[in-house]
Amino acid sequence: MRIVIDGAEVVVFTGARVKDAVLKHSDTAYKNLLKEKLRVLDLFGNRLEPDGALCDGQQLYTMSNLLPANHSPKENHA
Amino acid sequence: MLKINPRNKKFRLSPGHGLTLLAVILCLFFQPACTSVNRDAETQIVILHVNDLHAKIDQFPKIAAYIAQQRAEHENVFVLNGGDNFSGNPVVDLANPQGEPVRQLLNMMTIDVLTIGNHDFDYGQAVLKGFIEKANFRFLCLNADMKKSGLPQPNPFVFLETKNRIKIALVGMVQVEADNHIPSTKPGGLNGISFSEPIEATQKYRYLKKESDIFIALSHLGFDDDIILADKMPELDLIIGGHSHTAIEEPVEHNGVLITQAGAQGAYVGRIVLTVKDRKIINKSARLVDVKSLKTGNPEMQKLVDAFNDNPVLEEEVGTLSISPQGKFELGHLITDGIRSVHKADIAFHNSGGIRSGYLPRIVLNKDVYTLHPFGNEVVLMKMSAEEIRSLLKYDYEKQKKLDLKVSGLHYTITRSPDFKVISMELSTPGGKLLEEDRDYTVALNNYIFSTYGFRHKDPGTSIQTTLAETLTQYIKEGNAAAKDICADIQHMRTFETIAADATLTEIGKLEIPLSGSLSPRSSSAGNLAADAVRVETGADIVLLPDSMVRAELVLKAPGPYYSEYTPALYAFSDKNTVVTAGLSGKQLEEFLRQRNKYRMDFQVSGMTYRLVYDTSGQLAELQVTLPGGGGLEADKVYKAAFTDYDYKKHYKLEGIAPSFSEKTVAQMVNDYVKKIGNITVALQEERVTVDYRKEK
Repeated sequence: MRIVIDGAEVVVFTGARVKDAVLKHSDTAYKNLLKEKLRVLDLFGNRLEPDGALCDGQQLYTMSNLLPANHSPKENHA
Repeated sequence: MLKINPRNKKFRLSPGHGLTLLAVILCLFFQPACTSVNRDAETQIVILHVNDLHAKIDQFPKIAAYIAQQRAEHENVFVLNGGDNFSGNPVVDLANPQGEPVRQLLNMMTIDVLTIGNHDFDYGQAVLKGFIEKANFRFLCLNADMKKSGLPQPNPFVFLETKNRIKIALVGMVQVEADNHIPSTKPGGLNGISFSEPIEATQKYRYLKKESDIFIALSHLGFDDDIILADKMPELDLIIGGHSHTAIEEPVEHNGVLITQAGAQGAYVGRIVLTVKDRKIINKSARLVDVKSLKTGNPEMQKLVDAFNDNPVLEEEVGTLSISPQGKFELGHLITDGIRSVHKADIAFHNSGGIRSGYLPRIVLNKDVYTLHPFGNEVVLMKMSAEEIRSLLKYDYEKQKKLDLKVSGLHYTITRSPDFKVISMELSTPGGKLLEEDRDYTVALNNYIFSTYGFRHKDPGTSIQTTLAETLTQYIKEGNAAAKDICADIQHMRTFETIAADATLTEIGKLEIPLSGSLSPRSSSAGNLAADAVRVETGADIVLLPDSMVRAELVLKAPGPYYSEYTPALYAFSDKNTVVTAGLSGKQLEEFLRQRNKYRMDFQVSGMTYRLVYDTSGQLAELQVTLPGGGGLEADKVYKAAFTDYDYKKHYKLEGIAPSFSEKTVAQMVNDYVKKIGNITVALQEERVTVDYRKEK
């Protein structure tokens, strides 16, 4: 499956979860996700739990938990 | 005047029909009942929903109390569950029968309808059958045909009714993978079940819009597919989702369809309020209720949760091993043997960082397996050529600067330059046959390796939805059932490393014997060499060097030269550690030896030999020290003992008499010693440490 995370494409195995895509993208982001310093959002700004399922072509964004909940993920990566 | 809606077939009456009079008369007698079935009156409907609870039962009492409160405060409350109730909590995963705590607790939650999620198949069909048959709520799944499986066939749709008979149609569907058209679960749980593409299948139920006042999909497809479903089916008023663990805090309306989902693991309860008038939704809103913010839990349920959590399941025995596997190599070999055997792969890999405990006791309990594999990592299967396997191993070696990946079904030797670049690699089967270059092998590895290692592979890989802990548990149980010694081969080396000589290296001696550490707990030629070097250089009576300092996988071939550069490669941290000598009584030394060898043999020695015996729990039961010429340590006699400075200063705070700190590092001492002796001979193969295991329970 191909997942776009923070604008970069990663290839993950079938059945991979949100945390697998984050790990493939960045080791640091993965560690921060597990420490709850980082949240993962979908294209619509909804928060995804680390064990959430993925589908091919899905777009994800990561955002620091220090940023307010209403901060647009796209502002991060403009 | 009584309003009777012609759309309601039960109350459809023709003007002038004689029954009208009868209805009016009945209503005069039963006025309260008649006013409560005024379907056109403005009505508030509260829908509470959870999804992907994944066995996190600690949250259940608060969720149940909130549901009860809402039911008490509002007339029309419905509780929906979006699937994936199982898998993710050892207390539930290991319960007997599996999943029983979740089954019992969900029955106390006054759920109305549940859509089956992919992970609800995880525990197999017998568990799912019990879950469905004993449930006090209804199940949905329109895209699974279970008739040939022996499982009860779930409903494709159900109707719910408010107190005033507003009719709600609910359809439910489960996710399937695009490539294999089955849900993401262990395939064994799906025998006899066929699945259809869920969005296509759901469209066959468009007609339910005409047969109901409100039309809802209780989906286990994931948020992205819920958007597609909303595109295809604007008839839906609401999609209540699951699977992607999306916490939709701000309501999403797409193509006129409100889409919600309540995160996962019971962190939230979704609360939707529909206001209906004339059987049309005039307002809809949704929000998430943070379960952490709820103050009270259902006390009866809390007692049950506490009892489930007190369950001694983690203390239950998985099985018995012939030895207590120690260290990354033995454990890595056992783990990869298990992965390969259980998942029928040709080759299995596991990273050393994923081995989270130092040993397994001989009698393995559930908690030991979960301590070893705490991350819930899963097994991924893929087809790989020999060249692709080489690219994985090369990445691993050059990143870690050591042979980090543990393996089963393969032996490999890396020849590297002094600066850790891979020069060549030989891959063979355990029987010594070279891997075929034009063949694909079934390789099993974990999701961490897949996601973090840079290697070439044509096959995208597939998670088989089985954790490493489950795999090891199954392997030990199957081994015990078949009376097979699954530890028979784990003490043999499978990965080897050699250093290619070049003109920049400095020859300081000759190797008459191969020099290496030992994977099994015993003295090794390399360990003996370093301990002897420290004894000669410091004049100590007894030297205790940590076994972990000697790298087991590096093999120096003989006959051949010994280069000074070999030493820091052969002994980890030897170019940083210095040596401390101090006077220690025999009693102190014995105490130190007992402490450090409590669970595993831990020292390479010079000036003594010792024997360790471990009991079935893996703990040290006997220690016998023998000094040169016979006899053991005398309790009150002071011996000049040598340790690494790390051990002396930081690790155990040894209190010795007149400690003396060397200026030379261990590596310098070894090189000086090799220069003195010239030839590294067979004498270094002396057996100085032996380890035995008690067999009886």
